[in-house]
Amino acid sequence: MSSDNRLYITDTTLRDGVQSLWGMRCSYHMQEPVMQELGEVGFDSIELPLHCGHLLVSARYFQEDPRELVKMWNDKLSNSTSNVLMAQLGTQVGPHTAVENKTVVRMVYEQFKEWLPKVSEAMYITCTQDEVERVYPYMFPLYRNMGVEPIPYMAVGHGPRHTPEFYADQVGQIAETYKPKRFVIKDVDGLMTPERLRRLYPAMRDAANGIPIELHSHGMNGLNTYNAVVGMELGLRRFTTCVPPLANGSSHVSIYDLVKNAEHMGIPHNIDIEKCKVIEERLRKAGSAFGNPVDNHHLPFDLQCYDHQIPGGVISNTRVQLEELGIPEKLEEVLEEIPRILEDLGYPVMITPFSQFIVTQAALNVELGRWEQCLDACIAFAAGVFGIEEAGVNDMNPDIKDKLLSLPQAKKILEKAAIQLDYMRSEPSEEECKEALGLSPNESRENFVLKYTLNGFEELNKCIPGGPANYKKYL
Amino acid sequence: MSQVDENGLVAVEASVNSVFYRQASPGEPHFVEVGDEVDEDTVVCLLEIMKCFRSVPAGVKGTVVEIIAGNEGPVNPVVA
Repeated sequence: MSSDNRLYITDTTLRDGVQSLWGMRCSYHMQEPVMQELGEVGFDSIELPLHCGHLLVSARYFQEDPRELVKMWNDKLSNSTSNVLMAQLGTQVGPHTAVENKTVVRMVYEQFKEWLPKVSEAMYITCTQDEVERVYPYMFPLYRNMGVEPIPYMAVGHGPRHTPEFYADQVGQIAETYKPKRFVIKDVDGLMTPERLRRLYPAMRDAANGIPIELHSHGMNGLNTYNAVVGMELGLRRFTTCVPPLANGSSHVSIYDLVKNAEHMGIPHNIDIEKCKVIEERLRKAGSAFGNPVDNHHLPFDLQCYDHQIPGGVISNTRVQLEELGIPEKLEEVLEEIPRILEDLGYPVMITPFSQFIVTQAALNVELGRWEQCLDACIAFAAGVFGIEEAGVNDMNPDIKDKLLSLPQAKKILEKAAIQLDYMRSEPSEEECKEALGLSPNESRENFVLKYTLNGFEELNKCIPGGPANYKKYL
Repeated sequence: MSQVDENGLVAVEASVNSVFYRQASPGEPHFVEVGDEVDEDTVVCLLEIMKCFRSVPAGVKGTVVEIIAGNEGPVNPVVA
């Protein structure tokens, strides 16, 4: 049997597993005990949370310098043959902007690459046709010039327009123009069914012109392990998995289940399961010592998931955030409000950043009254900042659209939207970008990126002095 | 909008637990300073709620007399 028939695995235990099940609450000493072993399992790619969200959690929540975390990743994976993949949002590199200009984007990713020289791949989440036309032309060369291969993750939506033909058309265009290393079917909300996969995968495969396709499927409907079997029956060989306890639930297929089924089907693999068990034991110990959930099982098929479409990465975050808001008891009401907002907004794909601001708007609607207070992101959405056709703006409730665009704060957002495309394509000097952030034009790129991604230096200045030796340990 | 209190002041308050910012992003000027004249539509601050942002208009015409919340600090709704 040729080696091309083997499984190719992208591990996302410490990124999407943590995001789905631990609300991004994974500190230095929860990751350090497993990092070297992750590099020795035989994964083809290891996805790490090198993005502003996790950097913020590191500094703001754990008072740990995020640079120490990234340094540890680099040190522990130095001898690994696995690719290192970073989760990215393209031009949305910071916590407070929808999109950024080319210079800021380049500076941030160049700094990430300097901090983590091992990084060689970048998840490129693709939700809208606008992105392929507006942003791909410069983001692909930008990444490739720094030795990072962008991997298009095609976010699967549930609106009337999200047909197999729609995705095949996008894949065909991207394959012809950019020839990526692989495509990924990103089942962000875990609602993929075997029936849909049997139509979607062949359509995308046929359009990809030989470029392989991977399945990245969350477990909200409890079917992702079986979806992987269906995928293997169709000839799909690339999958995203997690090591328990960060698998199952709203997270990804367990590496154990995928490997067991693959072996049953006679499909070879390179995975060292015993090493996975070592990783599992250490994650269980550290996770439960902190208070993270470590008993994560397959979820039941729940029709309500098809209403709120909350992706795996958001649901655990939502519980944590509602607790911080002081209204944890309103989770169910928030879930019920979400489909009303989705309808109001024309059914955008429920993926970051949409999923977060839809959930937050739902919390505000529940607590204060429907659309009594509106997030800036909802106004920007109505203005087409996140894309027009495929984001769903054309299908919005016109009354809600009018209300959002009539708010006092809409004026500045609309002004910015009008020049959004020009701003995104602009390329000011690095000195100008630094000065715009209140820094000296001679400030280091590292300090610029730290101030930008952490929204200031306040949290960094509060980090525990003395480095990892003084950070809290859980083993 | 809050009521006018006995001193003729109107409080611009957070309705839910939030983080308060005096400017749109690091390096940008503050939305308002003490002494500034504002009208109902003037954006006076930014609140971060569950990782999302909401620009807050003054909701009233007048003069900024005090900025009580600390920049980048938590603010909570007033419990009656």
